[in-house]
Amino acid sequence: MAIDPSKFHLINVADTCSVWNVLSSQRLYSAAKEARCDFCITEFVRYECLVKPRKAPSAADDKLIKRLTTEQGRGAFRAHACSIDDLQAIELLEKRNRLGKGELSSIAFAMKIRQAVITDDQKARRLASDAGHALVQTTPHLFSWLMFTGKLGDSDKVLVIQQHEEMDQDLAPHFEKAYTMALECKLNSVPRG
Amino acid sequence: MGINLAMLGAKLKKYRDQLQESVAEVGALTGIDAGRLEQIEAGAAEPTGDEILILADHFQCDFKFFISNERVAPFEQTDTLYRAHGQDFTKADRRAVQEFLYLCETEAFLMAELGRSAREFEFMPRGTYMKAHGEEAAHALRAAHGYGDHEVPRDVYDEFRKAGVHLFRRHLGNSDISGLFINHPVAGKCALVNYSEDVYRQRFSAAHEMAHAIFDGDEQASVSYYSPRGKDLREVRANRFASCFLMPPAFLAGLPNPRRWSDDDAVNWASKLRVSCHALGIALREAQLVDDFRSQQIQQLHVPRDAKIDPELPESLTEVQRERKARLLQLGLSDFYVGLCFDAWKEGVISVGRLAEALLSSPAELAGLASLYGRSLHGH
Repeated sequence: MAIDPSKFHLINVADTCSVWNVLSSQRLYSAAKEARCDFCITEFVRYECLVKPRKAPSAADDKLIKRLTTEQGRGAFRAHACSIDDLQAIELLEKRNRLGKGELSSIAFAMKIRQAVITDDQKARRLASDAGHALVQTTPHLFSWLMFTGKLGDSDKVLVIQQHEEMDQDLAPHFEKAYTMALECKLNSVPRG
Repeated sequence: MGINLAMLGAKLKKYRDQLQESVAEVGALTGIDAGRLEQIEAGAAEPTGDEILILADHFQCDFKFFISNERVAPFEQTDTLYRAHGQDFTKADRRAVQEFLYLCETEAFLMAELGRSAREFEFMPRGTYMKAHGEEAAHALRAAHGYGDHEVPRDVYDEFRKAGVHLFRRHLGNSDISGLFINHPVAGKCALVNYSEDVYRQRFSAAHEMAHAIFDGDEQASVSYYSPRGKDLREVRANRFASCFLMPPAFLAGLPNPRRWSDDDAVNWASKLRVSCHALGIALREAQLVDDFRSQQIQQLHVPRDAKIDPELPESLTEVQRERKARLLQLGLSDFYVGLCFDAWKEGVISVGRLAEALLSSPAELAGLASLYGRSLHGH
């Protein structure tokens, strides 16, 4: 995971997994909002998150759906649409069998508005970059940056991970690594006298 | 690149008609306003890219089909199927067929990407006696897969996948349909076996569809029924192939004299061969080992349900695992296919979002599936 905890692009098009990861911890999300991060989604991701029927939604799924709906009511996670022309980008057409439609539409829209895609799948990150979009970020990167900038303190680490795991999400080991990276980066950035 | 809206709208409407869904239903299931859907179908409004993706997800086809002239979806094949047999497919069955075709397309893509594409079995029939075609092809396929006259393939599904057919078992509501064969423009030869039926009948049906793949691969699509409708020699040939593949005549000839069998003996042999007594009775008569009367008697017998073995639901599974896997198998998710999907994800061929789509699941449901199949989703 090569990330720079000192930098994070504020405007993000979130794919389905990262929507749930960002919303999984209320502490993480409130710190992100405080840091003026903005998350939007595509119409397809909205469909996948809120419309498409699920076989057996868990209690955690229901909570996350409620959080997303509430946040949309507050103007966050606004849904936008990419155009057919955006989908016809040759690189995306070539990758269409390798990426989920949510990832595909998020990349297409992020390319169009020249903003970051936030996705927590390693393969999606690589495929997005292969498809011509280099500005790809992750939820652990967001966490690391919030730690580095002091929007989250040491005592928040445990809470963020606990809240994240309570929502049945599986990024805990990556949050741990991201935390260490933020500390290292912080140490390296202190001017030595 | 300009889009022909009329053509795009017509494709969407045809898909909706094939699945027998109303505009209101599609609207409710996709979140797209029904009025807007009508406009799109009429070619009066241009859909957004996201709407195209949502509709492709709903209709389970490659979205490129909607925005290009490429024949990337088996639309003509299903059209042929429903023109000829439309009354036999309920709305739920049509959805099942659509899912089956989606699985075939995904399987073909993943196999190619992982370098696991199977070599298609080819057979050139000689003469005009179609029953003999079936016998000879069964012999040739058994030989190609290294089976001697006295060996019976245990996992026929695996055998036919190795012979280049995308084979899925899927629950169909119409219990008279045993299976169907579709020549997919991208995936190639695809066979569906009706999972609603008895385990050993499914085995025979798989072999029957394999015969269609060998002999009738040039046809767009065909449906097989348990109760044949009229005398179709292609169906006779497919049945003969299935019989000879599962019960080679040379093997039957070596059995203790079937004329002296008790009913229990007949049931035992059917069980050993993993075929129904019905199929065994017919095969013995064809081999002239029993007369019509005894054949009919054997055909009426039954292998007890709990004695039947499904190679795709092995005994080694716990009861809970077995139940869950059986439910997934009914949807077409075989061990083979699920393993292929997870391998493709692990090898970096597909993303986690695509993995979820391939497994007909949401990303949130993936962890449960991974655990059931002994896989891990680490590697973000």
